[in-house]
Amino acid sequence: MTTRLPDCRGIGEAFAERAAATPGKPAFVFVREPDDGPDTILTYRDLERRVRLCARLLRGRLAPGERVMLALPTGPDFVVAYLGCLTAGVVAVPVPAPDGRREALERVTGIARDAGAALVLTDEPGLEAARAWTDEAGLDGLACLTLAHLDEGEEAELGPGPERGDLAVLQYTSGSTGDPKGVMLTHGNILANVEALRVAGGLGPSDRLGGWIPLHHDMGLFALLSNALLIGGTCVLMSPVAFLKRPVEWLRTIDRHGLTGTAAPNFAFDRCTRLVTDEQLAELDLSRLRYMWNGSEPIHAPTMDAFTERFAPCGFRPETMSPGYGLAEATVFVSLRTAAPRTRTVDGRDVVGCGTVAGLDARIVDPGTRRALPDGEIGEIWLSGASVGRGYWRRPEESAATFEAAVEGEGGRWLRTGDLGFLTDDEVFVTGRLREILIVHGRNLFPQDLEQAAREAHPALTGLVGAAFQVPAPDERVVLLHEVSSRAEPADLPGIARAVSRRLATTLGVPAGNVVLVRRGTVRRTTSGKIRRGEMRTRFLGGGMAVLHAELEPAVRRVLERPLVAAGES
Amino acid sequence: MTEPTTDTFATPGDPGPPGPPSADRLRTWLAARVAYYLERAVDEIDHEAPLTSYGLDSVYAFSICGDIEDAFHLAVDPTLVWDHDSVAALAAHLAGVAAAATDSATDLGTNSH
Repeated sequence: MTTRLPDCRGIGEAFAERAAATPGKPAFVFVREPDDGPDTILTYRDLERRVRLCARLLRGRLAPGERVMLALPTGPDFVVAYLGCLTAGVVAVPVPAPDGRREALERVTGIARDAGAALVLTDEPGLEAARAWTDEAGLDGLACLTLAHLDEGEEAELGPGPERGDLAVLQYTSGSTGDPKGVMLTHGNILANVEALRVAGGLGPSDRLGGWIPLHHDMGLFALLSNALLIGGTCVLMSPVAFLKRPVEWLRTIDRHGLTGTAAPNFAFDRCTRLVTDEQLAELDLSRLRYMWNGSEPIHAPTMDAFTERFAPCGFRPETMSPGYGLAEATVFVSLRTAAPRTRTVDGRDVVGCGTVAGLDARIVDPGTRRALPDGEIGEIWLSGASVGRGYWRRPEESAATFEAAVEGEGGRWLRTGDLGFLTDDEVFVTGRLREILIVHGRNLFPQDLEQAAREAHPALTGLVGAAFQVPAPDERVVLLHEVSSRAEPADLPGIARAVSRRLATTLGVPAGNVVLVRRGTVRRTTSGKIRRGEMRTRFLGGGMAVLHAELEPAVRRVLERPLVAAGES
Repeated sequence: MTEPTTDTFATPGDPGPPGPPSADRLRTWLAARVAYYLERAVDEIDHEAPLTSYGLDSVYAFSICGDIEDAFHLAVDPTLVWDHDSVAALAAHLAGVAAAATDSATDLGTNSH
């Protein structure tokens, strides 16, 4: 009998206990692409041994609480490194493995500095690039290491591990590129979150969780990997690239490996519905899947319905589609709907129910007055409980404002999620965002970063202002509206717009098929100079906006109430 | 406004007769794929324009690579889409790779991961 998760001291200990209970059982399976050889299967025994060796390696080099960047692709090494850190008592900082893009390198550099990282764990193919990166970025003293020689290490007793209150992970999904913010998650936070999802999903050791979400993403790291391993189940992951190239591979992995739970952002469901062919569909069996968590970006009801209908012939049941809500500040999981989806209409739009908030208290609060609102009214979602992180790393003021808010007349210590929604019949419905964050393919992006990249795309935009926002068309599309110099020739405007799209795609990986160039003075700002993005969005959607040039996707053109007009025409 | 003819190109489509595909055939095929991903009509795709300027993002760059691999059995790396950033440039490059692959009966494409 293994210890209940809430009673375990730390994640390393909880994992070791489960490994001892079922040593021969597959713990982690990494699915290779067809030409890449056989899948990698690590049993609990294999994995636990490597984790112990890794922990020993880390203990030999670092003091408890030091930060280790996991700059590894999704795969066995990442899993060993993550659990190795948590067993040794050092703090894991998952980052996307640098891919050479300037913006990606800047982001990772910013994280390394903010976290004060002492070590980068990478793999053999990435070692040279990692060393070049730390040299170039002037990150002196940041050593780069691989796990290639782990097996040569000696096995030895590790001694006492970290406690529940010790820091386990810094999760950098918040903050702009120039100003990254790491959510501090303790061992206790992660254990509580795993327990909450275990109870909500009715999960146990026979469950097999997996998918293609990368391990540097909180959904991959906690909802899939940590959950599977800490309940004594099996985690099956594939490379995100394999999914992006051929979405059907996700569904094939679910089928071949008998997955019972998976998770992905909304766009992945749309990709499958659009790109999986009838022939591919005929060979799929999705009947063993119990939940398919749709989360980490706004959920679009028609996308969900279309997926359910399209894959019904494969044994996919309506209740398997599981819209959920979560955020990094609360580890990852907040709620998951396990019955067939239902929607409520708000302002003519179908909003999807995300299930009952599990293992946490939830309040809907007026963000202005901070008073709790009654059921059914829309306000900011506030959360409190054991899986809410401790704050942002080395940012006491922002941590206090976000993680320690008090409900007017009630007090308490609440996390302000920045998400808007309402509660009804004990179910949470997310309607939008209070902050101006854009979510693209499950990635949080700050409008300032997009506007900055746009401005750098062409000299005709220098010194002027822009506004980046998303519009429902009906899935969320990015619109970049920017003022352009009055000296720009009309004939040059299409080229300028293209330069902006190109810049956003190549530096940030953001699809910006919608670029609107306007006269100087069109973009509204507050008296303190803050860009009124919400107002610009409303004006854009209302139509009739006077523009100098607009490149719009057909889907976006269709949702404008009236067409845009050429500036200068009356 | 012309509605995109999405249904026609819901699948990677017929890559044509066996043997190395010509740049022309690759162009037509690629333009159809790009139009499908962008939800635009095929004739809206300027073969010379940078794909990124249509808002084609990295996720679709991956999809296009998967399509190329499936249709023409050429292993390609997603960075290819940035290095040869228009339908015409990408088609010309792929035609070269395909011809070389046939000549040497080996795959000269950059292998992905």
